[in-house]
Amino acid sequence: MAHQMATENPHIRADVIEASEFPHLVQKYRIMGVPKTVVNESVQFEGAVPENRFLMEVMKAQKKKQ
Amino acid sequence: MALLSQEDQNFLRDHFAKSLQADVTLVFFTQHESKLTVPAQQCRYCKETGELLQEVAGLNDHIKVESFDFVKDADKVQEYGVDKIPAVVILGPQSKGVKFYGIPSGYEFSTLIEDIVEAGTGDSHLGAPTKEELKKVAEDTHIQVFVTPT
Repeated sequence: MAHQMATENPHIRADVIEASEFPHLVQKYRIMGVPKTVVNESVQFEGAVPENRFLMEVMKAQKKKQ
Repeated sequence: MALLSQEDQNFLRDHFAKSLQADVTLVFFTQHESKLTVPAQQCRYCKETGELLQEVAGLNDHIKVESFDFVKDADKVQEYGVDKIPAVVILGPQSKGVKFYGIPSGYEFSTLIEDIVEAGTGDSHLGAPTKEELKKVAEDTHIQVFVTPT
Protein backbone atom coordinates (compact mmCIF):
# COMPACT_ATOMS: atom_id res chain seq x y z
CA MET A 1 0.00 0.00 0.00
CA ALA A 2 2.91 2.33 0.77
CA HIS A 3 4.20 1.65 -2.73
CA GLN A 4 0.80 2.49 -4.19
CA MET A 5 0.84 5.82 -2.36
CA ALA A 6 4.30 6.60 -3.71
CA THR A 7 2.92 6.02 -7.20
CA GLU A 8 0.27 8.68 -6.56
CA ASN A 9 2.47 11.48 -5.28
CA PRO A 10 6.11 12.19 -6.18
CA HIS A 11 6.70 13.66 -2.71
CA ILE A 12 6.18 10.23 -1.22
CA ARG A 13 9.02 7.71 -1.07
CA ALA A 14 8.11 4.22 0.03
CA ASP A 15 10.52 1.45 1.00
CA VAL A 16 9.60 -2.14 1.67
CA ILE A 17 12.37 -3.56 3.85
CA GLU A 18 13.13 -7.19 4.54
CA ALA A 19 13.59 -6.95 8.30
CA SER A 20 15.65 -10.12 8.72
CA GLU A 21 18.36 -8.82 6.39
CA PHE A 22 18.77 -5.51 8.21
CA PRO A 23 18.92 -6.28 11.95
CA HIS A 24 20.29 -2.82 12.79
CA LEU A 25 17.00 -1.26 11.64
CA VAL A 26 14.99 -3.78 13.64
CA GLN A 27 16.85 -2.50 16.70
CA LYS A 28 16.60 1.14 15.73
CA TYR A 29 12.81 1.06 15.34
CA ARG A 30 12.26 -1.58 18.07
CA ILE A 31 10.40 -3.89 15.72
CA MET A 32 8.56 -6.65 17.58
CA GLY A 33 6.21 -7.73 14.81
CA VAL A 34 5.65 -7.24 11.14
CA PRO A 35 4.40 -5.55 9.10
CA LYS A 36 5.59 -2.45 10.88
CA THR A 37 5.36 0.94 9.22
CA VAL A 38 7.39 4.04 10.02
CA VAL A 39 6.45 7.37 8.45
CA ASN A 40 9.04 10.16 8.57
CA GLU A 41 10.53 8.76 11.78
CA SER A 42 7.61 10.38 13.65
CA VAL A 43 4.63 8.05 13.15
CA GLN A 44 4.76 4.30 13.67
CA PHE A 45 2.16 1.58 13.55
CA GLU A 46 2.05 -2.19 13.48
CA GLY A 47 -0.03 -4.62 11.48
CA ALA A 48 -1.67 -4.69 8.09
CA VAL A 49 -4.21 -1.87 8.21
CA PRO A 50 -7.02 -0.87 5.84
CA GLU A 51 -6.41 1.83 3.26
CA ASN A 52 -8.16 4.64 5.17
CA ARG A 53 -6.21 3.97 8.37
CA PHE A 54 -2.92 3.87 6.44
CA LEU A 55 -3.82 7.16 4.82
CA MET A 56 -4.69 8.67 8.20
CA GLU A 57 -1.27 7.75 9.59
CA VAL A 58 0.50 9.25 6.57
CA MET A 59 -1.48 12.47 6.96
CA LYS A 60 -0.73 12.51 10.69
CA ALA A 61 2.98 12.60 9.84
CA GLN A 62 2.31 15.68 7.67
CA LYS A 63 0.76 17.57 10.58
CA LYS A 64 3.67 16.74 12.87
CA LYS A 65 6.07 18.30 10.44
CA GLN A 66 4.35 21.65 10.28
CA MET B 1 18.35 -23.61 -12.05
CA ALA B 2 15.59 -21.11 -12.44
CA LEU B 3 14.14 -19.60 -9.27
CA LEU B 4 10.70 -19.32 -10.82
CA SER B 5 8.82 -22.48 -11.73
CA GLN B 6 7.62 -22.99 -15.28
CA GLU B 7 4.05 -22.55 -14.09
CA ASP B 8 4.82 -19.21 -12.41
CA GLN B 9 6.73 -18.03 -15.47
CA ASN B 10 3.77 -18.80 -17.72
CA PHE B 11 1.35 -17.06 -15.38
CA LEU B 12 3.52 -13.94 -15.08
CA ARG B 13 4.24 -13.77 -18.81
CA ASP B 14 0.52 -13.75 -19.44
CA HIS B 15 -0.17 -11.27 -16.61
CA PHE B 16 2.48 -8.80 -17.84
CA ALA B 17 1.39 -9.14 -21.47
CA LYS B 18 -2.16 -8.15 -20.50
CA SER B 19 -1.28 -5.24 -18.24
CA LEU B 20 2.05 -3.58 -19.09
CA GLN B 21 1.87 -0.67 -21.51
CA ALA B 22 4.98 1.32 -20.60
CA ASP B 23 8.59 0.46 -19.90
CA VAL B 24 9.54 -0.33 -16.33
CA THR B 25 13.15 -0.33 -15.18
CA LEU B 26 14.29 -2.29 -12.17
CA VAL B 27 17.32 -0.41 -10.90
CA PHE B 28 19.28 -2.91 -8.88
CA PHE B 29 22.02 -2.06 -6.42
CA THR B 30 24.28 -4.91 -5.51
CA GLN B 31 27.77 -5.89 -4.52
CA HIS B 32 29.99 -7.37 -7.16
CA GLU B 33 31.53 -10.59 -6.10
CA SER B 34 35.18 -10.64 -5.31
CA LYS B 35 37.42 -13.47 -4.27
CA LEU B 36 38.09 -11.73 -1.02
CA THR B 37 35.05 -11.38 1.19
CA VAL B 38 34.73 -9.79 4.55
CA PRO B 39 31.90 -11.58 6.39
CA ALA B 40 30.52 -8.42 7.96
CA GLN B 41 30.29 -6.74 4.55
CA GLN B 42 28.87 -9.69 2.75
CA CYS B 43 25.50 -9.00 1.11
CA ARG B 44 23.51 -12.12 1.90
CA TYR B 45 20.88 -12.12 -0.81
CA CYS B 46 22.34 -9.88 -3.51
CA LYS B 47 23.11 -12.73 -5.88
CA GLU B 48 19.65 -14.32 -5.56
CA THR B 49 17.90 -10.96 -5.87
CA GLY B 50 19.82 -10.26 -9.08
CA GLU B 51 18.91 -13.65 -10.52
CA LEU B 52 15.27 -13.19 -9.61
CA LEU B 53 15.10 -9.77 -11.30
CA GLN B 54 16.72 -11.14 -14.45
CA GLU B 55 14.17 -13.92 -14.60
CA VAL B 56 11.27 -11.51 -14.14
CA ALA B 57 12.69 -9.14 -16.77
CA GLY B 58 13.01 -12.05 -19.19
CA LEU B 59 9.24 -12.49 -19.15
CA ASN B 60 8.31 -9.21 -20.84
CA ASP B 61 10.11 -6.80 -23.19
CA HIS B 62 8.85 -3.79 -21.22
CA ILE B 63 10.88 -4.81 -18.16
CA LYS B 64 14.57 -3.89 -18.02
CA VAL B 65 17.16 -4.39 -15.30
CA GLU B 66 20.00 -1.94 -14.67
CA SER B 67 22.60 -3.07 -12.16
CA PHE B 68 24.93 -0.88 -10.18
CA ASP B 69 27.56 -1.49 -7.58
CA PHE B 70 26.78 -0.03 -4.17
CA VAL B 71 30.41 0.97 -3.66
CA LYS B 72 31.68 1.82 -7.13
CA ASP B 73 28.62 3.61 -8.50
CA ALA B 74 28.37 6.21 -5.75
CA ASP B 75 26.71 8.76 -8.06
CA LYS B 76 23.83 6.39 -8.79
CA VAL B 77 23.55 5.44 -5.12
CA GLN B 78 23.09 9.12 -4.35
CA GLU B 79 20.76 9.77 -7.28
CA TYR B 80 18.35 7.08 -6.12
CA GLY B 81 18.90 7.65 -2.40
CA VAL B 82 19.86 4.07 -1.70
CA ASP B 83 21.36 3.37 1.74
CA LYS B 84 21.61 -0.43 1.96
CA ILE B 85 21.73 -3.49 -0.32
CA PRO B 86 20.28 -5.41 -2.01
CA ALA B 87 18.07 -2.56 -3.23
CA VAL B 88 15.63 -2.48 -6.12
CA VAL B 89 14.13 0.78 -7.35
CA ILE B 90 11.03 0.28 -9.48
CA LEU B 91 11.07 2.99 -12.09
CA GLY B 92 8.11 3.71 -14.32
CA PRO B 93 7.09 6.76 -16.36
CA GLN B 94 5.60 8.34 -13.21
CA SER B 95 6.95 6.37 -10.32
CA LYS B 96 10.35 7.01 -8.84
CA GLY B 97 9.80 6.54 -5.12
CA VAL B 98 9.22 2.81 -4.92
CA LYS B 99 11.99 0.70 -3.42
CA PHE B 100 12.64 -2.75 -2.10
CA TYR B 101 15.45 -3.49 0.35
CA GLY B 102 16.29 -7.17 0.71
CA ILE B 103 15.19 -10.03 -1.47
CA PRO B 104 11.54 -9.78 -2.62
CA SER B 105 10.66 -13.39 -1.85
CA GLY B 106 7.58 -15.13 -0.51
CA TYR B 107 4.61 -12.80 -0.15
CA GLU B 108 6.78 -9.85 -1.11
CA PHE B 109 7.36 -11.36 -4.53
CA SER B 110 3.72 -10.65 -5.36
CA THR B 111 4.25 -7.08 -4.10
CA LEU B 112 7.13 -6.75 -6.57
CA ILE B 113 4.92 -7.99 -9.40
CA GLU B 114 2.12 -5.56 -8.43
CA ASP B 115 4.66 -2.74 -8.23
CA ILE B 116 5.91 -3.49 -11.74
CA VAL B 117 2.37 -3.50 -13.10
CA GLU B 118 1.50 -0.26 -11.26
CA ALA B 119 4.68 1.42 -12.51
CA GLY B 120 3.90 0.26 -16.04
CA THR B 121 0.34 1.54 -15.99
CA GLY B 122 0.66 4.53 -13.63
CA ASP B 123 -2.46 3.39 -11.78
CA SER B 124 -2.11 2.64 -8.08
CA HIS B 125 -5.61 1.10 -7.78
CA LEU B 126 -6.21 3.05 -4.58
CA GLY B 127 -9.69 4.36 -3.90
CA ALA B 128 -10.66 7.76 -5.30
CA PRO B 129 -10.93 9.44 -1.85
CA THR B 130 -7.43 8.22 -0.96
CA LYS B 131 -5.99 9.55 -4.22
CA GLU B 132 -7.67 12.92 -3.57
CA GLU B 133 -6.32 13.14 -0.02
CA LEU B 134 -2.81 12.17 -1.12
CA LYS B 135 -2.70 15.17 -3.43
CA LYS B 136 -2.45 17.29 -0.27
CA VAL B 137 0.94 15.82 0.58
CA ALA B 138 3.25 18.65 -0.40
CA GLU B 139 6.31 17.79 1.64
CA ASP B 140 8.75 14.96 1.27
CA THR B 141 7.38 11.96 3.08
CA HIS B 142 9.28 8.77 3.71
CA ILE B 143 7.32 5.60 4.43
CA GLN B 144 9.20 2.49 5.55
CA VAL B 145 7.38 -0.82 5.80
CA PHE B 146 9.20 -3.67 7.53
CA VAL B 147 8.29 -7.18 6.48
CA THR B 148 9.61 -10.72 6.79
CA PRO B 149 9.53 -13.50 4.20
CA THR B 150 6.59 -15.86 4.64
